[in-house]
Amino acid sequence: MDKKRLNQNPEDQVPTWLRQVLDIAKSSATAIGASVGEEPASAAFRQKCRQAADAALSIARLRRERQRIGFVPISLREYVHGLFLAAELQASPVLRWLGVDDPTDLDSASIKDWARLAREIGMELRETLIHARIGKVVGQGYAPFPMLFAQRSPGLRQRPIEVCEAILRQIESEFSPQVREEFQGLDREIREGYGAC
Amino acid sequence: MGVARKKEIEQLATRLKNLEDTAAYHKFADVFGPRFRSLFRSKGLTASEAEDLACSCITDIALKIEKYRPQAGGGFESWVFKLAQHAVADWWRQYPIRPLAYEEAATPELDLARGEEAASIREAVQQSLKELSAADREVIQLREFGGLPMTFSEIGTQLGIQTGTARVRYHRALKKLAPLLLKNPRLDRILKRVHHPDSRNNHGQETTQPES
Repeated sequence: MDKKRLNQNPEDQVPTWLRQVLDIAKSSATAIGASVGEEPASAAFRQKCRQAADAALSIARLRRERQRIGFVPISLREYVHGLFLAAELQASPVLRWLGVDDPTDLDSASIKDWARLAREIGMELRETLIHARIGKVVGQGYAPFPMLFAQRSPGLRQRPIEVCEAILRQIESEFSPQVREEFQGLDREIREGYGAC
Repeated sequence: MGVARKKEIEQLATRLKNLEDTAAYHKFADVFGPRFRSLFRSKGLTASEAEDLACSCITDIALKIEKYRPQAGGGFESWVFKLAQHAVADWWRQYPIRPLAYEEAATPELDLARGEEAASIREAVQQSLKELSAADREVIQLREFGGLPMTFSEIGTQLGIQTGTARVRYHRALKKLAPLLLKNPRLDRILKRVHHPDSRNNHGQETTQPES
């Protein structure tokens, strides 16, 4: 009888979403009326919290090491690897923080992840882009970049970062459109890692 | 919080600036991790979302420790929770928000099997019921949440009113409950998921249509 009347009177229709919500709540009626107490932290969650703190500590130490070392004209990969070695740090807490699938392998991080880390340890976008561009040049059959840098830097009053940019501009002007396109992709990914896109 | 405890928390801020003090970082995680999670749960995040954001906050806030100035007022704990509040506000900004009406918050694709989602819904209903008048809450509880849900006739007998009056009172109570549920952040997000761009199919259409 009640059901019949409900169907007859549109005002009595309970919207589907509300019916579903009530049914779900009803499915565990004992929960209704019980207070929402604080859920105890599981051992797994506490462990994750500590790993998050370890990541902060590692990044802070990398940041300190980076401040000590400053700019070096090498690829981003070499630079980040070098920082971990110089600071005597394991990469895994940082890789977990970055959300990398394999936290044991620094090289499994994407260029965007590396850029995010670079930003976090205080590297300017301009500098990170130079490191990444150096990495690309390495694969194009040129002399090791530190040698190219040494060739150009004596007698110049420019900052090392500006010398590198000048060298890179010259080298990149000789690249094919296809390689230039790859460079643009790299540039975009790094800017995304910096949240600059 | 006791004075000693407050002093200990304040000292933690100083200790975190020492990068050789690993124990301080672990203590920061132990003290604030579960509290962040409780805060985020109260803001409508599911348990796993709250845990992920809590962990993310531990890293991000610890990395900002150099910016903490004790004289800024409020102390370290207050500074930490201010940042955590910003984090959860940013988290919510990822979702498009628009008000939903009583009739249109269709959820045919609501995944009822997801335990975590069901828990959020139960909590939302529980919270919203508390905001109703005692009479409205009673009629909904009798109809929906009694050990054996009652018919309107039984509700009428129990409350000493006509069957029709019980029915009308129940539906009026539901109409009051609905906007409270729609305002509840726990439920709000679940209901709006059908309108989120992620729920669109390859043709750019929503996979579910609001009811008319």
